[in-house]
Amino acid sequence: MIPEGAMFSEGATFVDMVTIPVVAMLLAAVLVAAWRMVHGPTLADRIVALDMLGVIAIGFTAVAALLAGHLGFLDVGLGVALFGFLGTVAFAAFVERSARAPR
Amino acid sequence: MNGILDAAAAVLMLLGAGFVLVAAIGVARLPDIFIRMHAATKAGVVGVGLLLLGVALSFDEAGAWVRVLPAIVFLIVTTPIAAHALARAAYCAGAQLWPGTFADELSEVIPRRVQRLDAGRPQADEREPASADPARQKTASEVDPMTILPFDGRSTAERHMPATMRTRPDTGLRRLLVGLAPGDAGRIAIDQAVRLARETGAELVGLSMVDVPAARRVGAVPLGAMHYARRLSEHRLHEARDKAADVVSAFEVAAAAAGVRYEVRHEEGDPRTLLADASGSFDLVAMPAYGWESDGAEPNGPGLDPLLAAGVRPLLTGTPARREVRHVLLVHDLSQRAGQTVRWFGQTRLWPNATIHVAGIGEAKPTMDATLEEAAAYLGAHGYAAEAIGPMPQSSVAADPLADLPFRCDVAIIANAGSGGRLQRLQADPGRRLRDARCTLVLG
Repeated sequence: MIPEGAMFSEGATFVDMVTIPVVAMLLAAVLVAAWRMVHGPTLADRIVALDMLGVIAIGFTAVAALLAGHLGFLDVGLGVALFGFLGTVAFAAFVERSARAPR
Repeated sequence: MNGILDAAAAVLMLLGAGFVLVAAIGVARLPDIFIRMHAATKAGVVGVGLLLLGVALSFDEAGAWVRVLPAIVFLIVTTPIAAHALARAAYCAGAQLWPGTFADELSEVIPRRVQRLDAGRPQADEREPASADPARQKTASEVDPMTILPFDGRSTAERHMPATMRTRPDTGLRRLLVGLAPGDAGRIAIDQAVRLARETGAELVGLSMVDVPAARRVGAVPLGAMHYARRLSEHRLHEARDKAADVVSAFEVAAAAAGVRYEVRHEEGDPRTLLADASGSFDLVAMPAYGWESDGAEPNGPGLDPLLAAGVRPLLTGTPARREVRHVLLVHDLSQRAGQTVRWFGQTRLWPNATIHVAGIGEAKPTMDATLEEAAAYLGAHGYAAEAIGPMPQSSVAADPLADLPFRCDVAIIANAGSGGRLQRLQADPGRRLRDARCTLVLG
């Protein structure tokens, strides 16, 4: 998507300029959250990290929508948010139930 | 798209990505799951929300807003629900609390499984009715909400404040941490802490620590022996955890028998950092004089110096008093730090029936007399019988510091023990020198 009211001669907008840093930050966030997911001492820690990864994924879909110039990616983000929520709640129920179960 | 909208979108996106990155770092770095969740949910949602807003702004189409706004609302609505469910589940499953945690409002409200140290061991540390303490006999459903509140009438807001921030005209000792370590010194520390908690009604927290890298260290390995080295290090770690589990059970038996309010936490990491992090929220930290850094087998370790250097203070150590405490020696080195210790002691009001003898270190000077008199007057104002006894004789400092005193000292409080200076000779090695002094020691 090349916007017409560009401020620079090459046609680069501020948004184009920040896309790379934004993607880099999101990637760094993925790495850091994945570290916790691998190391997390308990299952609940891993779930928190998974939730975080889901949130980052929504960020990625937003950036992807921008880069592709296609709004459909935003719908994908909504779907990711929905499934992330369901997944976290299901995992929480699982953790709680297995904690309550008689040994 | 006009330039201002474009710039605003860029700023929002950058901010959003920054929040997401900070949230991810928080998830990785924060100390316990409940605090981590805090980063993931709050900062994460703000970050993604800003990012989505930025993207919608840069599209600047109705279609983008129609997708982005519901997504943001959905996130804001669902994330707290998911976090709540997960936090509750983690609590039930016995996730460790950060040692610096002040309030555990769910304690005895929700049944909680305490993390098992050793899967093969029958569990004695369940927070459920099985314990010998009558206050813990009730099941979660029949606990009267009033009994969950603290008995000392503090408000909730007050209990959430760090111990050091509370205004305390008449506080007393409220939170006591005991470092659980194997060996004789470890047993003595537990004994001492449990007694003190029973006398003062303080809340007792036992912190069990396993230093995983130290436990796994096997030294240099010859070529080709890596397999055996790995097995050895696994074995050592297993042994260390096993020992920690033993000490935890011993602590629980002792605390339950004495009927004190207690709590156990297990942490893996460097004991120095763990204790330094935790000590800020406790009024006093009871530690074995030696053996806390290893498996307790090593009486010639570094003693408590590393802990004092790490800022863990005041430390309670030495031998528990076998009779009622009548004479307390307070060794003052005229430093500001020592003044803090005097204040701390006056405010915690330990051993209220004892006579406090305030002694100085160094040669006798008018300034010393004035400082000691002032300290004695301060303690007098807090209801103690206190007297300034001038400088401690140098000879007695060099030999057994407590032998030449005109009274039998039950408790010695050594102010400013951490920073050396004038007290260096007295506390050169508190672990080794003073643990034979047959009195309770408080290192301020």
